[in-house]
Amino acid sequence: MLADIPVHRPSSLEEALALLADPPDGERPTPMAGGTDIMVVLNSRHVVPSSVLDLWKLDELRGLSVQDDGTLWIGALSTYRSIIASPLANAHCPALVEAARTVGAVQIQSRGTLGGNVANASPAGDSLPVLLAQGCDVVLQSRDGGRRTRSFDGFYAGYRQADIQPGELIIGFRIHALPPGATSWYRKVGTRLAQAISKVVLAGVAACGDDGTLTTLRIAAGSVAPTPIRLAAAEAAGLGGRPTDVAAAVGAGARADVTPIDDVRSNALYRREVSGRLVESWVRSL
Amino acid sequence: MTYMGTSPTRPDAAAKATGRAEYISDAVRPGMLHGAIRFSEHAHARILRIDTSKAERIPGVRAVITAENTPEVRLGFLRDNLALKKGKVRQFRDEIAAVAAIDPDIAAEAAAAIEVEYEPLPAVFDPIEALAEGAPLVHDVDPRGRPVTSNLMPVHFRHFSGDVEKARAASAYVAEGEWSTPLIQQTCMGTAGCIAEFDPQMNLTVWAKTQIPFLAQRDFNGALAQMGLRNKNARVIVPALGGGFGTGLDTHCYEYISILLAWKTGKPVKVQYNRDQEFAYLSPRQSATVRMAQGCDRDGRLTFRHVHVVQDNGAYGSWGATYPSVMLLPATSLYRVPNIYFDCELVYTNNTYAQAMRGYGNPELTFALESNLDQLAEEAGIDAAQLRLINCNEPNEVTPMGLKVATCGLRECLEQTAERLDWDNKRGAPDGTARGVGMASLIHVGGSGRIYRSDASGVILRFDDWGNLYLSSGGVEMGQGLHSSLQIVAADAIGVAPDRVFINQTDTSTCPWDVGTHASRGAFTACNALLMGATKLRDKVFRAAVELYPQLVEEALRKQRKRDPDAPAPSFDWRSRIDADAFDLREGQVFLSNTDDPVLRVDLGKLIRAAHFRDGGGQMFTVEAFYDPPSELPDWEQGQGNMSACYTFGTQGVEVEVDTDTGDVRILKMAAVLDVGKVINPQILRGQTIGALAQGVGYALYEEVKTERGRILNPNFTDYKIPTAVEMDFPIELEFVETDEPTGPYGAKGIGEPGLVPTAPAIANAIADAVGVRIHDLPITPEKLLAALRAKNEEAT
Repeated sequence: MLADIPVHRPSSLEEALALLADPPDGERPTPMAGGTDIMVVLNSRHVVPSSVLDLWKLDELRGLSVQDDGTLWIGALSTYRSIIASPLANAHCPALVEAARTVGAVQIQSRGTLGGNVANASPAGDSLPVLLAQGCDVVLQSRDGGRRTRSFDGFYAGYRQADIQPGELIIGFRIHALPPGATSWYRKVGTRLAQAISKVVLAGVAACGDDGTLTTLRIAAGSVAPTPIRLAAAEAAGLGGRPTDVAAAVGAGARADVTPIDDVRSNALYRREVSGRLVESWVRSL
Repeated sequence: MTYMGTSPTRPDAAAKATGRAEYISDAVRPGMLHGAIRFSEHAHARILRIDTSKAERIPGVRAVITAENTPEVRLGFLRDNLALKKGKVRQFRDEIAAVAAIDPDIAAEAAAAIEVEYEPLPAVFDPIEALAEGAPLVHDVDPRGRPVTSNLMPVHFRHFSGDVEKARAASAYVAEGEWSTPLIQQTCMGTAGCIAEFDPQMNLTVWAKTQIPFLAQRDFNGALAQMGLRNKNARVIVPALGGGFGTGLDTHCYEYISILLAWKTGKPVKVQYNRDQEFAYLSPRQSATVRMAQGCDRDGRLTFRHVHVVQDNGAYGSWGATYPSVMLLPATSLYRVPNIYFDCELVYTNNTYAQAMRGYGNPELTFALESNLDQLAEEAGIDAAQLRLINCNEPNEVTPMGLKVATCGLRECLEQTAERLDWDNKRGAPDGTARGVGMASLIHVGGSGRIYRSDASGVILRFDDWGNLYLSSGGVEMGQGLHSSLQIVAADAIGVAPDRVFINQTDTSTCPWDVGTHASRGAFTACNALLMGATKLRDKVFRAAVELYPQLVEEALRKQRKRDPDAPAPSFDWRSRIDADAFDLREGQVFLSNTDDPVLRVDLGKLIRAAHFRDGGGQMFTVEAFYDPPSELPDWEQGQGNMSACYTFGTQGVEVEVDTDTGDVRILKMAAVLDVGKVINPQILRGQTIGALAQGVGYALYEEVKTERGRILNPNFTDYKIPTAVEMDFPIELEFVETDEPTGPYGAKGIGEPGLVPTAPAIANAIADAVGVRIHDLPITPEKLLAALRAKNEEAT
């Protein structure tokens, strides 16, 4: 029975890391933030963890702030609701706010966290392409290894393989500042308008120089490959050109970048086509 | 009429809003055990061995049953299904064994511990392949053990009238095509479950989530006989239902399994499905393929309609297999068509077996018919609304099927829908946007649907000593608001306030017979029975009043004079007017119909008590009435017969916008105009219709039980999407045309199902108007639409 699974409820990060480093019952507990992924898995009985580490009380992992270097710090336990409500997030990472609004319903947005979305490592994670497109560092911590910072680009080695070492927890994220004059973009295509897992999820950051050519073009996509990916061919096709001139080539690049599959929610042809069309339309609108 | 057309608070509102209503999932009996079922892991396989020994050893397990250690219990109207399967399985979800245990987790653990060895057999999942020569036979013998040579079900529905081939040859324009509709889930808010309990005399009580308590009683009594329990009776009690939508039209294997477990253990046994189980183990709506051709002359008059249906019923037959009985309605009688061919093939496959759902074949057929009609309009160069108006049904016509249409508001429905959509300006407008409008109409049974010998509904009315009315109906309240309709009609017809009308939850031991709450018949038949009973009950009251009214008024007058010696005498000589026909009863007061003098108004409770306690033999005020609509059981082989007392018509219009980058369809506006005869409770009617529209939108755009070789791939709300409030967030213009149907209770027609019937073709037609492509298979997903748009662009370049 679910109720029989032991739950540890640390009240400080130190205590949580100690429980991970030195589990009382020998087996390392599974960390749980808002529970919006793990409860679904538990309910289906596909995976039953030996014990759960409930992080909800770790207020030190909540909150958003702007650092001296202009990066936006988001504590791992910040919920989608708190991101939507944050003037800092709205100013410094508006695409993330848009992504947060597309997650589940209000109840899910109030429990689901950015750290949880990243740790869950689903290729369909709604926020992940935003973190890739805008650029972001992940900060992790363990009792024995201390703090570690790494780029979010390359954080996933493969399908559902996040670079989280045994004993580590994600502490938070440093989201890079948007280049001057840049605009950002987010688009989720789900199986219906709301409360749906994405079939394609896209994010972009772009800026044009004085001559109207693209000086920055960073595009990322989810649900179209085993991990969220940067669309390298699309970016290369667009950089240095005028948006209206290169839009079609960027779209073609995007179609080449993605490696989607057929599944119960959609099919590869659709995901590839929609990735191309939406990226092209966005670039054309710049 | 005081209450007809108003919306008094429905009697079940407070209990449901506060969580106090008792659904089957809430129900508990003392000493109750929990049942769990072991389902098949193959679509088609021989069962070689079942080993229950491990399950039996688990502490807390009270019984493990299989076909080997229980009597054979057959079910289904074709008797082709067994409660516990013997010899072979024909679908995933076939019931192989079951466990009763002291809690649900132990029961589930034990069910999983049962070991089953199979020999897989060749299986067939496509109904067309199932009809091919040499296809694996789903049933190789019939219920009597005689060999079977085909996967065709032994049930026929046909209609031929006129000369279709001649008419086709003579038509100026012809359009034809093939359309298909998917398996979909009814997605009731309340999931399925039951409790079975034997009393010490071995009579059975079943708390069942059913829409047919009296047919279920018959079925369960049949099971008792098969179990060797002769001369025993089943009582069926219907708890609060969180929606039915057709899932309660049949009795189900899980109900017989709980009966067998209760019999085996001597304890009440509950089987309760959770959402995942409901998706995986409860029968969905049938999938169907419809080939349709229609033609018209130069003036747009329909010349013929040719329809061929192939319906996949899965491994067994439920009542839902008889969908073509209702498909015949639109096929023969929606719009005026002189020459008609209708035939269908009902096929067994190794897919999950399907059952009834709201609309019962009508949405499937109407999707093809109304899509095809738009194609014909295009072919003929006639506006699609105009084509429908040219061929519109009219009042007082008899259709080729023999349907006697008395009232018919279809013309007004079509005209109002066009007006509300701004049809003339928006249809076909090359405005550079991917916006379009479309419409579709419906005909459905409005006065019950006779698919069974009796189509009746009984009612028992009883006044208690305080003038409260107790109403027992066999009709089932499943959330649709039947009890509110009964309250409103009772209040007006009998003359008591709505909140003095108390309605018994359906229980076969206290309620009179009713064939079932389906075919949009609940309010129509129950309220008609109620009207008959109301006349009897009032008559009984007034005959007592002839005797007792004078003494009660005299007493009132005495009291009045005592209080106020100067009070004026009654304004007329009431004593001379006493006559049973002169009395009236309103708001619980009996009076002579020509006065409103308060002293001459006698409290109903007082009159009843006087009658009850009078010297020389008291009296009770209880009456019964039984209403069987004026309709015929059709000859299905000929597709002939007036199956309903009256017919409901309606038209729906939709404006959509298509995102040509993603293929997403956004509904901008809907208009639904329905000929309802007469509105009983406008709030409930609106709610029921909007709910139906949402179901129609789901059918059109989102919903599909996806399967792979018979296995369901999306048995959960994560991957099976129904519209939420966000998808339904567009203006809906609802209009009710009141044609005052003579056979209806106070003029009302049945309206439970129709709201979803034409929604999908209206949306499909709007999409075709918007982007010039037509999707022939539901749901119209962005994947299909984008692929069609690509193909169209490639063709153009």
